[in-house]
Amino acid sequence: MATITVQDPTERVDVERIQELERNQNERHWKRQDSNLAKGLIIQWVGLMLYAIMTTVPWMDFSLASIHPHVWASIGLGAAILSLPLGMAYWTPGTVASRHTLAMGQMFFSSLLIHVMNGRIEAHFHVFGSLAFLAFYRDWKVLVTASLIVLLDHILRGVYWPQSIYGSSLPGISRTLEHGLWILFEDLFLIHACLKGQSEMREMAVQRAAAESEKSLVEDRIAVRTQELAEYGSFLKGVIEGIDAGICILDDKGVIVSTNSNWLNFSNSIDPEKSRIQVGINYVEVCRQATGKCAEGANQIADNIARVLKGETKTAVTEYSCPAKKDVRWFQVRVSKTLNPVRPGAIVVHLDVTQRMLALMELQEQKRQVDQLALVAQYTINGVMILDSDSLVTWSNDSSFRLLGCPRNEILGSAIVDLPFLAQASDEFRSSLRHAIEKKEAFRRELALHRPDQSGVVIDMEMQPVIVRGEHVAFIVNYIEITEQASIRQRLSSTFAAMAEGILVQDAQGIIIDCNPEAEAILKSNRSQLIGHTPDQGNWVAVFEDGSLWPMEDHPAMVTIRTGMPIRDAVMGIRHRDGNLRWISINTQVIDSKLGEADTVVSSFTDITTRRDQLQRLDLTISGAGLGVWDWNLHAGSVRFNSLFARILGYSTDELVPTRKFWESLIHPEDQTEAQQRLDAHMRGSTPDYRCEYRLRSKQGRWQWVQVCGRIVERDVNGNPVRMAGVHVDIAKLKEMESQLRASESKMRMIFDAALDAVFSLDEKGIITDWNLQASNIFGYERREAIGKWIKDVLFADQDIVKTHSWDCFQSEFKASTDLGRRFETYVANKAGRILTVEVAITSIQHNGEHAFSVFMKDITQQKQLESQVAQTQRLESIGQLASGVAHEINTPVQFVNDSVYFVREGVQDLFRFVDQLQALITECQEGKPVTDLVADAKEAESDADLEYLSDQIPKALDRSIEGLSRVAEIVRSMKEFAHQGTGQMNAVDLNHSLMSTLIVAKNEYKYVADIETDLGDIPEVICLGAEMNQVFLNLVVNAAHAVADVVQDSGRRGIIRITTKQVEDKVEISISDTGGGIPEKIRDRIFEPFFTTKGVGIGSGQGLTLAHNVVVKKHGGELKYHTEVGRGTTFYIRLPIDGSVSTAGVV
Amino acid sequence: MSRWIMATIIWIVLQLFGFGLLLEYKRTPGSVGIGGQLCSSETDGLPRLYLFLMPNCPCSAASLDALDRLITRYPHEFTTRVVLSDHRRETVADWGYPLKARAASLPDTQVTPMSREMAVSFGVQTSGHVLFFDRTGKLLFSGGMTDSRGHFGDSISSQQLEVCVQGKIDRLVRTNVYGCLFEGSFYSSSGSRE
Repeated sequence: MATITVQDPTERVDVERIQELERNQNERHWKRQDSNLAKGLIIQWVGLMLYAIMTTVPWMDFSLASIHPHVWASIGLGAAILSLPLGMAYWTPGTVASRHTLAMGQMFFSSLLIHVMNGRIEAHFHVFGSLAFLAFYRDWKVLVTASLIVLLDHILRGVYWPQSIYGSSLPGISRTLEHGLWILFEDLFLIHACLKGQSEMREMAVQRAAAESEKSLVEDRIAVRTQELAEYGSFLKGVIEGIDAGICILDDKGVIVSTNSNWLNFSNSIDPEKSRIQVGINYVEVCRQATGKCAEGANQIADNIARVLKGETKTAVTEYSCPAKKDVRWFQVRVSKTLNPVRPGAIVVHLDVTQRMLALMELQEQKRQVDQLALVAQYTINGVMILDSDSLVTWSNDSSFRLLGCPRNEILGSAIVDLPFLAQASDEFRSSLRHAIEKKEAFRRELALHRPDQSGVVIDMEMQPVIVRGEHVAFIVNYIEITEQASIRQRLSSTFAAMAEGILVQDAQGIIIDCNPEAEAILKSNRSQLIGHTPDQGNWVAVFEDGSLWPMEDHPAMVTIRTGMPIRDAVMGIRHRDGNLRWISINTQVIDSKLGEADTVVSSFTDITTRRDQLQRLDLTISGAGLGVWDWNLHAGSVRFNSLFARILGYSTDELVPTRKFWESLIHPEDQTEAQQRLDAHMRGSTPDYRCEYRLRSKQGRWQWVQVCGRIVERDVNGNPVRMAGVHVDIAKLKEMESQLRASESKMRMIFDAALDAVFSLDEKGIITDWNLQASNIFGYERREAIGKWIKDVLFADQDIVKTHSWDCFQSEFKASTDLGRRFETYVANKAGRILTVEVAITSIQHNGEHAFSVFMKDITQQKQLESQVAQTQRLESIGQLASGVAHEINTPVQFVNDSVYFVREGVQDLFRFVDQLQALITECQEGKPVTDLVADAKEAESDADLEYLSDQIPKALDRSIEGLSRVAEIVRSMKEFAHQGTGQMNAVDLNHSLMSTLIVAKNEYKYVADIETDLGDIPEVICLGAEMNQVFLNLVVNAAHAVADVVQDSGRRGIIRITTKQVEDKVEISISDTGGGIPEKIRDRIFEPFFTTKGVGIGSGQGLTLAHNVVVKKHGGELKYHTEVGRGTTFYIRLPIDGSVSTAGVV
Repeated sequence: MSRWIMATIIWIVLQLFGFGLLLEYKRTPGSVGIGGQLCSSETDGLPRLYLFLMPNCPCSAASLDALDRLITRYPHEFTTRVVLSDHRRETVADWGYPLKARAASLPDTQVTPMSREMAVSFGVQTSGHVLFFDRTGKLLFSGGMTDSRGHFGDSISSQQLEVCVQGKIDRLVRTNVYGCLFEGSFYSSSGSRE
């Protein structure tokens, strides 16, 4: 049978069909428009010619010459314009080419029209009309072509022939722009209209395609429906024929008009004459005429047919029995009214229901039996449920509701797995139940649950599938309450599991049938490895204490099985496969026996390995510690000793008499009183334990020092001691060591006090804990005065010391001190307030788990003063050495100053003479005397003085003098700066200036042998000791000059001394290099040693580099390094911290 | 498609050629001659304008239209004499051209036929030639009033004539004359001055 699906027609429209329709529509439309436009062009042409003629006729004299050129233009050019568009419209209508050609022709015609109309503005409306006319194409591209033609025409004629298009000779660019904008303005609307028109045409195509589709669909439906009806009629006929019933159709009179084939069978079975109930026979009458046992049923059928035909009822059913040849047959007759209003009648269906009736009767018998069984199920004390094949509860007895505590409505109709009480079951329980239901298998489990009234119950749930004739039809679920049994079993099981002893239950063959967790732990085997096996099949072997194997048949359990007698405290070794050996203590007991033979035996065992090890270890400990153990029973007066107790005193155990009196007799008489007092105090409860050291007489008669520790371990109800136990320790060696320690301490004290340096100890807080004799001598504080005080209050309390920040330095070193003991220098004040310079070393030590510090202070005040004096001496020595050079440096400028001054003096004298002559001349003139001679003298004096020469040379001489004096002043200033002793405090120093001063002072040392090159960088002022750094620079410059001089000697060549300064991070680096001979490798390790020199006697003292190293490294915390190459020269590098942060403590 | 493109190109070229011919014809000026006498002996106290037309010339209507607009714009500022010639006839006394009626209807305008003497005297050779004399008889304008043959509408020549009429200029202004050449007895007897 065909299936018809109703769809929206537009959804089923074929896109290609739409496109085809749209294409056809457009093609027709464009052809029509081509034709219209071609006609329009012809009309316009004619109109234009008429217009040209009409507008010129009034002026014409009908001669050829008088014909206006516009007439010729409209005819000739008009024909030319129309030629191609008309041809295209005729031969290729509807094409893109024809559309665009016609559009161009239309616009060219507009151009001609405008010209003929002398460019009048009214003529331009033709352009807008033409565009609107072209818009009928509904193709916006045509408008683009036409607009381009118009714009091009306006631009060309606007520029070259404005009179033709605008009627004026004035250029028309602005007009062209204006016209172009109007055309674009119109194009916007026309293009919109074209697009909309195209859209509408497309929509029309869609609608038309949809209509075509709908028409096709309806035709398809009609064809399918016709075929369906034919098939349905055939189907109904087949159904009627196939029904296992006799069917006949009666007309309104009861006459048979149609029957099926089974009706013939039916009629044959009840009417041997056959012809009576065939088509054309009145069936009602046949029924009325029936006789015999079937008559009653037949009459009832006739009545039913009559009622149906009269319309009293639509359907009437009756059943009746009719005796057959061998048995009785049952029939059901259904009379129904036909639904055909044109031909009313009735349908009679005869159905043989004999089988059904027999089955019904059998079913009634079965129901009776079931009812009886149901009574049993209903009133049994067990819960019973019946589930259908889908596990839904279809029936349940009252005991179920009672047992489960659930109301009937919660159980009936529910799937068993969804029953509320099963929510308390474990996931595994429900999963197993589901599995059994799915597999149609039996299921039995115990389940503990709480009823809604919170009473607990344990049930034994059993589910059995019911299979009838090989088909599963139901489940029967049976519940038995086993709460009491489960409780007893649970208690036993819990006890069994909770026992601290391992339990094994074995049967008569020794096979383990049960065990508890402790047994699994001790035997290191899980339950599955134990159950079902004999002990010799396990992961262990049983051994005796000597390590030999314990035979299975001699196991305590096996012995008990054989003899029926219990065994107590048997010790057995269990050696596991990993070699681990455990010791257990075993008891056995028969559980069940019959006629003296044990059926089951239980073994309980405890792991005593730890206890056994502890006992052994205690013995070893006591023995190893040399403890003599005693146990004194005060009531009995007896004492028990161990063997070591006896051995300490040289006795054997047997030789010691176990009484208090004997013990007391062994104590040294001098120690007895104290020992007794302490014992009495402990017995009174005054002391928690009894401790005492005393001497005991050994067997050899020597007094043996022992330490006794004991305690009352038992008292009676009145608090009186009953039992006391303790140990004796041999402390003879301890006593001897104590004596030696005292002697050692005394000796160390002597050394401590005899030390040349002040030595004292501080705890972590800086409190003085020890103070030697030298410390008292140096600082003036006695030992008793110093100990217990804070070190700051003793050595750093003086205000002058506070100003030097010495305490801060000491504190920082104190905190950073290690066991290596770093040395530093600082100031302290002694008791008299005198400031001392000390060299300090602090050593950190561990004493009794606490940190302690040993401080060593050496008074170097005098040494420092000497060093200062040596430095000053060295500086003065340097000045002395430089003095002759400096004097020479000063002498040169002094010489030419002297010469210049002499020259000036003579010149001034000549000038004064000339001035004197002039004064005399002036005087004579004022007095009116003749001055001829004086004038001649004056001129002579002027000639002698040579005024022109003096006026030129005197200023130069004075300049030379000033320059010379400046040089002298600079040298003197440099000398002064160099020789300055300094304040001993660090100040901000311009090292570049210091270097330049040093170079001036030392100039005489190098000027004959070397040239100076300086590259002094932009460096900040450095916090340093300026005078001492000057000395360092001088030493290095002089050394460089000497090194260069050694190389150049008298060769006339000159070397180079190069000095540079620069900043490197937070330091300033000064380098002084020379082109001397370099430092030989063999002396490089010694150049900083005091008094080491390679110069001749009187030239160098060997302290220059030593002093430089001391100043740079020790006093400034800087670096002094050098780089040398033999034959090429040496460079010394000095690096000083800019902020003067000296790495060593204090400024000394 | 290619044939269509080729045909279209030829078609466009043909039209451009046609428009080119038209342009060539309409923008080719006629012979100006000497531009008339430097002064007019006919003075009546007002400036005087002479328009020489050949009635059967298609360009005359445009010139007359331009004159009409000038007179309308400057009424009673000058007197006008439209001089008509007809090469087919000896005189213009009996001609009945529409142009004459139109010219006669203009205010302050006298229509006269062109005599040989006049033609020779003013030396005009092309229809549409305008001569404008000031009050003293001094020639201020000589040339056409249109910028192309037979084309109606405003033109540069008309504007220049207006400037002369307004008296803003006292020197001679010459423009091209677009019209038909006077033919016939005027020049054949006296000899062409072209």
